[in-house]
Amino acid sequence: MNFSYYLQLLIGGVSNGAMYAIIAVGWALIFSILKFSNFAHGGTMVCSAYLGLLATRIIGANLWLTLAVAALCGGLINILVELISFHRLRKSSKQVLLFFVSSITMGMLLQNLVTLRFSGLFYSYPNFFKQRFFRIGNISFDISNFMMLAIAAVILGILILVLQKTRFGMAVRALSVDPRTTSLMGVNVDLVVLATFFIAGALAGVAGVFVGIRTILSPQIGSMYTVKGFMVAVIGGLGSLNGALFASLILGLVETAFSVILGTSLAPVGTFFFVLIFLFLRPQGLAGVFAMEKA
Amino acid sequence: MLQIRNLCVNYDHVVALDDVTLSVEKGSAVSIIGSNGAGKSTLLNTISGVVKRRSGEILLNNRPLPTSPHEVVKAGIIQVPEGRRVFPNLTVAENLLMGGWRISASAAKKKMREMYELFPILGQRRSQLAGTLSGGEQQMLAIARGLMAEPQILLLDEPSLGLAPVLVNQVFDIITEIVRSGITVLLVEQNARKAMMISDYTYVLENGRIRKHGKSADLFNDEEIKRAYLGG
Repeated sequence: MNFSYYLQLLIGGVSNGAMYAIIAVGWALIFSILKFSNFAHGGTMVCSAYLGLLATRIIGANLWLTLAVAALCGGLINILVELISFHRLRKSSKQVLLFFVSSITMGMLLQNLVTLRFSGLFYSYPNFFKQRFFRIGNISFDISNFMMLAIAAVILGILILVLQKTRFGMAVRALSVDPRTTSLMGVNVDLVVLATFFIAGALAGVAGVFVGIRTILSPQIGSMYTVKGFMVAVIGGLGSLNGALFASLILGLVETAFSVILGTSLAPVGTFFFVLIFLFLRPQGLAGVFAMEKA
Repeated sequence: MLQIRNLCVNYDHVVALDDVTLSVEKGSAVSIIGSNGAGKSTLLNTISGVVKRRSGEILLNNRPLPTSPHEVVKAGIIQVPEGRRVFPNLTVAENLLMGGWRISASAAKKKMREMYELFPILGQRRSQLAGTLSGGEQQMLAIARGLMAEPQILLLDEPSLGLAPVLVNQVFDIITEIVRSGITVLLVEQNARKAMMISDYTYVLENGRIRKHGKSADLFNDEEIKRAYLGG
């Protein structure tokens, strides 16, 4: 136990957080425009993770192509999610419960489709990196952690730019506070919603590949990361992108810390306990906009 | 230019508009007056496509007006909604650009400069969030945002609501100016006196039906209208 050990843990934790950030920002995007959570997010993620895995069998262990395939699949799957489980409800109902039931059902369906095709077996991604570690002085670093961190940072940077600087981003921000007036300005709201679902799905696809790199794929990661994504979104303050980013970082670090203190099998207990205490102290989440009834 | 024939709108089982027929001539200002709940906003929202009609026709230049909101804007009709409804989390400039959604980005930039000349206060506050503006400034922004679309017809829903008297006059001056520039205006107002003073033609809406209509100048001297809407 020395400095380099803690440094590696820190980097591992931050990179873990970056993976959550990719999930949670997709989650927050949907919440911000529609004011409900898409519980099919994990389903989209697990589907595209497996499709990415299939892609590696055809194109080989190419990280960039795999990411692109998974992102594209995630985006397209999420468009189906919108059209099948949300579109009609959005037009006819304001009942949050219906959205909850509809999206969680969709998530289960997606996850079970994966189970049908791959059974419950465990799969793992091929090794994308020739070298697993690199060394600076006496300290060796896991390359995959660095890559994931860098990719997440670039993707999130682009997303923020798109939201802040483009006409589309402006429409998304307008839509998030006032859908009706946004449509009165001539914006085709349905199209913007679909595009947002595509982006969130693409993020879920990238997250799926990250999960595949970090751990072993099984269909259950769908529901597991739905829970974690929801957790991060709630800690961040539902619908807030900045909040989601910070919450992801915190959760990534906390989880890594607990896996050292309690061991990996007990780590989730520590994490959930942390979340409970956090929500007890600050139920409105980091961003501070109270959205209790909207979950 | 705009013709509405036998329009009926229901909210569940409540009749909101009952057999409304009216027409708006190109380049004119038409006002619709009536008390709260008479169906004035419903009428504008039905034209804009955010409220679905049960029956009836809406024609723009003798062609049926599309029924989805973004297509209505594309056709050249934009609404300045009741309560201003600026986007509080967007800057003044971004609010204007939202209004200019139907025109190209470069045309919108150009139009924005025009708006800053027409409303200097908006120019001064262009990078401020719209939510931080005062009520009067927000109303100016809402009107400017509507004009950004370069509409053929501007629908104004209660533009004077909740404003101080000085600002009310200013808003009506601006509307007069808009009409003079060649844009057709359909104005919904509770402030019947002001609305009739600046419009060519007036429809009186009561419980979802057109009760009376005529040239604003004529209705101004109508005893019944005087009693009911102009305070004796």
